[in-house]
Amino acid sequence: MSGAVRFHARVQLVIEGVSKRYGRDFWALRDFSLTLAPGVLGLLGPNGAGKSTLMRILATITRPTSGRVLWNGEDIVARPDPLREVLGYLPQDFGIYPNLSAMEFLEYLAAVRGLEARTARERIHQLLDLVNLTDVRRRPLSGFSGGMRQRVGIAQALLNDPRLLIVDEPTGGLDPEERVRFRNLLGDLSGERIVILSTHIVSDVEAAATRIALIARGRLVGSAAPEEMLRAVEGKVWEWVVPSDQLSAVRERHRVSGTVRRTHGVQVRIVADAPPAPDARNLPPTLEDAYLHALAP
Amino acid sequence: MRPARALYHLMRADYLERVRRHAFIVTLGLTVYFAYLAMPSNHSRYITLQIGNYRGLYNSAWVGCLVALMTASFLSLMGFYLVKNAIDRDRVTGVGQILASTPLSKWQYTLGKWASNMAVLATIVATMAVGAVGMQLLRGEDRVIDLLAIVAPLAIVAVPAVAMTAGLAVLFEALPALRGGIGNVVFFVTWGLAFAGPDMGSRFQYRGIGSAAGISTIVPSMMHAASSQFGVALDSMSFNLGFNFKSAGTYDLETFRWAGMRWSADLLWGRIAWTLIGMSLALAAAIPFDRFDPRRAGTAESGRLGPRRSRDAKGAARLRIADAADGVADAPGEDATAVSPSRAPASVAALAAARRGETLVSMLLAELRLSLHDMPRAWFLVAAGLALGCWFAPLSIARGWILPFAWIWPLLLWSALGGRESRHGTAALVFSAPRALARQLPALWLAGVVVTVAIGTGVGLRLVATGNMPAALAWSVGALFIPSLALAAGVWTGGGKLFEVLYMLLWYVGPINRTPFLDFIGTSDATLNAGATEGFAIATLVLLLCAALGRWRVTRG
Repeated sequence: MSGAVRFHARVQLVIEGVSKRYGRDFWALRDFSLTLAPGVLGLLGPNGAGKSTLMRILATITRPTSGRVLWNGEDIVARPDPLREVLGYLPQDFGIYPNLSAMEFLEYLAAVRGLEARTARERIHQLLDLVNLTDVRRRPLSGFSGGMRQRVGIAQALLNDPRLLIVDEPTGGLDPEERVRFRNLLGDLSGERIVILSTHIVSDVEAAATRIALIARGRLVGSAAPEEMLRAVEGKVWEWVVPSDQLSAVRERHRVSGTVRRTHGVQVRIVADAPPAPDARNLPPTLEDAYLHALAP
Repeated sequence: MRPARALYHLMRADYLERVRRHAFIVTLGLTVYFAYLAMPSNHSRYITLQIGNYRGLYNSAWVGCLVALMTASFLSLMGFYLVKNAIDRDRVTGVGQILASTPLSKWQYTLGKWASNMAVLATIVATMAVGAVGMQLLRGEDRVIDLLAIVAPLAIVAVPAVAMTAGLAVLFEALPALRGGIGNVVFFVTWGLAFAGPDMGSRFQYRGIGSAAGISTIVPSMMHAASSQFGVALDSMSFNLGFNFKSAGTYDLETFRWAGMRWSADLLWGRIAWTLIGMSLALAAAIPFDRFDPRRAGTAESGRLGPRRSRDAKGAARLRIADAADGVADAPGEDATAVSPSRAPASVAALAAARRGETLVSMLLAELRLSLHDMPRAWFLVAAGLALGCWFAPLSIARGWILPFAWIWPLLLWSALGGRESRHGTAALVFSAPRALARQLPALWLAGVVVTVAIGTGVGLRLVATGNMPAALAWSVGALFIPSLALAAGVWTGGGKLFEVLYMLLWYVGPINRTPFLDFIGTSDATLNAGATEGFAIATLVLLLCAALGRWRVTRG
C-alpha cells in the first residue's frame, strides 16, 4: 500500500464512560466522558489522578475495563489500526535503543509506522532540526541526556504527521529554552488535528491549550476553555502580607496559590470568595488559581 | 546505618521483590516436578543416579543424598540464570542510583545481592526437601521418614553449591563484559568445569575440598557400600549422575540399602570452604562493580562508543557547553558541533509530508538492521567463516560439526527477538503503530530466519544438490525452528535469557551429543529416522502460534 496519508475532513475523538480498574478494586479511571474536536486539550490533574492511564487507553496501549473510545466513529478497542495510522504518541516513560543513533532510531520507528522510506528520511532530518538535534543525529542514543532523549521522543511522535497527538508530561527533563520551543511547536500544530497534552505543569497548558480538562482521583472534574476557567475565579484571587508566624494558620484556612518572602512578612496569594483580610488586594486570576479553585475539595 | 542492618534490608527487599512474582510460584512448582523426575520408579526408561548396575533403595538416606546431588548439579546451572538479574533490576528500575547515593559501600551491596541470591536459591532447595519427602512416600520402597537424613545432605551439599552460583551471578553482573548474553553463554560453557572439574580430575574420589557440586563428598560412600554388598571391585564400578535415558527397554537396577553419610569434619570443612568461596566471589565483584555510574556502564554496554569518543576531542568541548543545560556533559559524537537553536525550522507546517509505504520488506529490512546493528565487527567475521565452512568443507563435516556451530553463533542476535521492546522500554512506541501484529512480528521472525539461513545455507543447498531431501528438510525445519523458539520465548518473557538457556541445553544435548530425537538440525541420518524433523516442525508451528498469541495480548492492550 502506498500513497499520502489520508485524513477525515473533521476528526473527532469521543470518550464514553471509560473506566479502568487495576487489581480487584483500584479504579485508576472512573466513568470518564469527553468529546474532543480539533485543537489542543490540556489535561490537568495532580499526580496519580489517572492522566497517564487515560493517555494509554487513548493511545491503544491499554484496554479500558468499561466504556468505549470512538475515533471518527470507530471503536478503537475493536479496530485500533485506523487510529494507529494517524496517531503520534509520546509516553511519559519510554525507552530507546542505546546503540542506535537518533537518525537510525527514527528511521526504524518510521518503518514500524509504515511510512515510505525516502520521504520519511527527509521528514526525519527536518524533525531533528525542529527539535534541535541535527548536530548530534549520528551519536549513539546511549550518550544522550534525559532532555535530548525527550526531544527524540517528541520527534518520533510527529513522524507520521499525526491527526491525534498524545503527549504525556512532555516537558519533563527539558531545559527552559527547549520547553519554550516545545510550547511554540504545540502552538504550530493547528488545523485538523487533536492534540492532548497531559501535564501537572499549569504553565505548559497555559501557553498552548485551547481547552482544558481537569482530572482528579480518576474522574473528570470539568472541562472548559481557558477563558471560561479564568472567568470562574474572576474577583476571587487575593493578595496581602501576613507576618511569617501566621503563615501556617493562613494555609489551614485558605487555598494558597503562592507565597513570596518580603521584608515585613510573607506576601500570600489565595483563592477565596471573600477578601481574607481588610488590606487584601484583588488580583486578576491565572490558570493556576483557576486550577486550584476547581480542584478544591 | 550499621553494615549488618544495611545488608539485611538489602537482602530482604531484593528477596521479597523476587519471590512475590508469579514466575517464582511457577519456579517452585517446577522444583516439585523436578523432585518427581529425580526419583524414577523401578522400571523406568531413565535413571538419575547409578552406581555400577545398582542403585540404593529409596530410603531417606538415599533420597536425601540423591536429591542433594541432583539439586547441586542442576540448580547450580539453572539457578544462575534465575538469579542473575539482581543488579540489573536495580539498574533498570533506577533504584541503583538511589542506593549509590547512600553510604552503602560497594562490598556491602554485592554481598547483599549474594545473600539475596542465596535466599532465593535456598528457598528452592527447601522446596526440594519437601518434594523429597513426598517422593519417598510416593515410591514407597521405605516409608520411614528420617527428616535429618533428607535435610542434612541438601544443607551440606546443595546449599554450598548454590552459594557458588549466587557468587558467580553477582560477579558476572558486575563485570561489564559478562553482564549480558555473552555471560550467559560463558557460564553455560564453563559450568561443568567450574562445578565438577576438581571431582573429574580426582576420578570422583574426595580430595582437598572436593568440588562445588559435591559429587565426591557423597558418591565414594555409596560406591563403597555397593562394592562391599555385591562383592564387586571398586575400580570396576562406574557412576552416572543425571538424566540417562535407555534407547530401548527399561532400567531394572538391583537395589541395596545404604545407611547414609557420616559427615566427617573433613567433608564439612570442604563444604564450608565452597560457601566461603561463593561469598568471596561476591566480595570480589565489588572491585569491577560500577556503582551505577552511567558513564562507566555506558562504555561497557555500548562498545561502539569507545572509538567514536576518541575521534573528536575538539567537538567534545563544544558539545559539553551545549549540553550543559541538559544537566550532562557527555561524550562527543563523530560530528559533534555546537548546537545552534537558530537552525531549527520555524514551523511544523513546513515539514515534508508523511507518506505511507507499508511493505513487509521495508519492515523486515528495518528489523534486520536493528538486529545486526548490535553485533561487533568480529562477529561478522566469524559468521562469514562459518558460512564459508558450510559451503566448502566436506559435506559430512559441514553437516555434522560446522553447521551446529554456525547455528549457535547468532545466539545473542536471536535472543533479542521478541523481547527487545520490553527490554528497552520501546513497547509503547512500537505497539501503538498500526498492524504491529501483522507486520512487525512476521518481520521480526523473518529477520531471524534470514540470518539463520544465510549462515547455514551452504549445507542446505548441498544437501539438495546431493539429493538427500530428508536431510534438506531437517535443515529447513531447523532454520525455521530456531527463530521461532527465540521469538516465542522473547515475546512471553520480555527478555532473551529463557531462549539462551533452553537453546544452549537443546543444542548441547541434541546436535552436539547426537541425541537423535533432540537433534533439531538433522546432523546425521539417525536423527531423521528418530522422527525429529516431524517433531520440530510441529514445535515450530506451535511456537509461532505462541508468539502470535503473546504479541496479540500486548497489542490488544
